[in-house]
Amino acid sequence: MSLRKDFANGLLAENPTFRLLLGMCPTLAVSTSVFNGIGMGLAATFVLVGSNAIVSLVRSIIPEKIRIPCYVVIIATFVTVVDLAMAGFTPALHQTLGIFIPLIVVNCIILARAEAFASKRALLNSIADGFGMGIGFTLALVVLSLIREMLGTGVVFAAPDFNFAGVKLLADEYRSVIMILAPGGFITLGCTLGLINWLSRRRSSGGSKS
Amino acid sequence: MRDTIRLSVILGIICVISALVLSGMYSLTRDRIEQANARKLEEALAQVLPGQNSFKAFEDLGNALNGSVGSVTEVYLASGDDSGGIAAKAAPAGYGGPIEMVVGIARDGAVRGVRIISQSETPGLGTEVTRDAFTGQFEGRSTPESLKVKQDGGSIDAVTGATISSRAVTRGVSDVLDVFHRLSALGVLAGGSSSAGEEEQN
Repeated sequence: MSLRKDFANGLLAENPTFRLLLGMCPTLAVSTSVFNGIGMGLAATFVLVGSNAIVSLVRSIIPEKIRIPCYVVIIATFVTVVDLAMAGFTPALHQTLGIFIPLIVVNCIILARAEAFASKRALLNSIADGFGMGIGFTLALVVLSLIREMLGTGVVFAAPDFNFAGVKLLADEYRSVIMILAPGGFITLGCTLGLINWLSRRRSSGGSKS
Repeated sequence: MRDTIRLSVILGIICVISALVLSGMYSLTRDRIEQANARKLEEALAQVLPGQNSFKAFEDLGNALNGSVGSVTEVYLASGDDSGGIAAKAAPAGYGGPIEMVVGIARDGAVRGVRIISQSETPGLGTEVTRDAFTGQFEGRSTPESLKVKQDGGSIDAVTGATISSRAVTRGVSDVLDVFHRLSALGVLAGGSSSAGEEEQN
């Protein structure tokens, strides 16, 4: 399989959020604003690429039976190293993305890709897969948080860390706070998944109906 | 049996390597992280007490006030030309965890500035308390009694839908003000009533 195909796989065909339904917990938690969504997506992409690369490199020396605990140790170590390095060398970036790093540890996309892909494939393919999955995760977060932020706060792209108040789309009396709380996360995710399934089924059944 | 030992040894080796990598990274970044945190704190202190750029940590807070300091965690005495004020760090419990904030109080006992350093409130709701529109309300206030949100009979406008977060920030400010008054009564603050206390040192 070509590198390009491995990369594109994560964007739509096997989008981690909409297709594989992985990492639902961080998805629900951070898709409250586009700014948070992009931050989490970028941090997760970086960790995915790194952990896929490491797991792919050591895949031949790790015995089959204990591979899962090994991956957990490797991923946890890598995430902590990234966290420390960011705090030490790029404090400004750490201030913005730092809160997402601990959340990545509980993101099962990372472990799932290590197990399903990187443990069986060559280094470059694994890196391409990490990139694709990461960008796919970021795209999904942006879609969900765009809907939730607009309906919940009436404003999109608000970025308090950069002193940007956001673009106002809805008047205050039309916004409903529930959309940025947990129930709104489930409602948005459910409706989006339903829409995507409906669209893909319609497409796969061909033009027989229309 | 032999397999069990072999697998344990391999897993053990991987853990040891991880521990080595982690400790190496930790010692490599420890100083830088401490410096960055110290710089961040200094910036925050200078922001809540404008015109002051020299602060001295007050070490003995718990003992001096018999341990009852509310949500206040650290106190910095302003020194230099216009000394007598304090900047204090407080961490009142909000809706999603402690809200870390710094509060500056001028020597006349009026709040000069309030800044939220870190919080984990609900995005879009509780996070509104970090904005100047909310924190600006505290400036110039000097009596802890009036520092309550309107729902509790005070005069602070709580953020709509975020009464718990607003209440927490308000309690943080009033705790700092309370600590200021008690330190002032003890005479540990430079200037004002503390001139006698200063002479006693050495």
